[in-house]
Amino acid sequence: MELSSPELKVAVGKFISIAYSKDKGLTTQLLLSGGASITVDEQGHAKLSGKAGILVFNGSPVLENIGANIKTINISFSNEEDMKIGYTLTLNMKFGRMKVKGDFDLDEMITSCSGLLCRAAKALKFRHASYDAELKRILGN
Amino acid sequence: MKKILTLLFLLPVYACAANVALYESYQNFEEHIKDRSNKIDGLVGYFAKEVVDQALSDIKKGDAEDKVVSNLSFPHIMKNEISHFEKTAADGDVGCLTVNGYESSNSPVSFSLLYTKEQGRWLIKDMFIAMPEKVEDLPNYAQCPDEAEASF
Repeated sequence: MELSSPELKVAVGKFISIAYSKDKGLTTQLLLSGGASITVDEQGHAKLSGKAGILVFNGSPVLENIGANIKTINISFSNEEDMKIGYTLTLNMKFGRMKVKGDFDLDEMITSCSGLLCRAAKALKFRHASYDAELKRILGN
Repeated sequence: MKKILTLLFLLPVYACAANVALYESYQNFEEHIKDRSNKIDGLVGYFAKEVVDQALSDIKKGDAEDKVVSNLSFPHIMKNEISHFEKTAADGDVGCLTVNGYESSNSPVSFSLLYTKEQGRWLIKDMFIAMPEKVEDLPNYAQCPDEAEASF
C-alpha cells in the first residue's frame, strides 16, 4: 500500500471497525468520552483505551495492509462537537515518524458499521473496493 | 609542478562538495532513488551512520529489505513539490530542511529532515512527515523534525 493520506485515514476507520465489531457500546463510549486513543504494536496487538475503559483487539490485518516498516501506531481522538470526532494518527516507523490529521462523524460511522463496514471487519477481509470507498467517503480525502 | 596543478584542480571541487546546500543534497537523493532498486546498499551514502547501522541491524533481525528501503526512500511519497526551506547551525555541521508538496491523492505533505555533515557530505539523520488537512497548514519556514512534530 502507498503511504498516502486517504489510505492512512482508511486504516483509522478499519481499526475503529474492528473495535466496534468487538464491543459496540464500549467503542462508542470511549470515542465520545474524549481523550481516547488506539495504540498498535509491531505484532498488531491493538488497544483502544480512555476514561470509559480498555478494549483489546487484533489489528494485524490493518497493519499488514499498511505495509510500512512500522514500530508502533498511535491514534489519539478528540470529541470536537456532538458526534464529530477529530483524530491524529502517528506512525512511528523504524526510521522517522509520520502524522496525519482528520475527523469523521461517529454517527455516520456507526450507521455504516451496521452494514457493510462491520460485516467486513468481522470477516477481517479488507480487500473489498466498496468497503474502502465507503471508509474514504466517511473519513474524507 | 604537476602535483601543484592537480591540487589546484581538486581544491574547487572539494570546496563545492563541502558547500552543497541541504536542498541540493536532497535533490540528489531524490534523483538517486527513482530507480527504486530495493537494495539497502544504494542508500548508504545518503544517511547518517547510525541510521544505516540501524537499517542493517533491522534487516539482519528479519525485517524485509524492501520495507526498510521503502521507509528510507520516503521522497517517493511526494508527487508534486511546491516549496522548500533550510537552515544550518552556526558551526555548519547540522542543518534542517523542510520540503512541502502534494502526495499522490493531492493531499498536502511536508518532510522535515535533520541533516548532519559527515566527511563533507550532508547526510539525513532524522525525519518527520506531516500530512495536514489543508495546504495552508504547511510550514513556511525550515523546521527540524522535533520542531515540526511539536507544532503539528
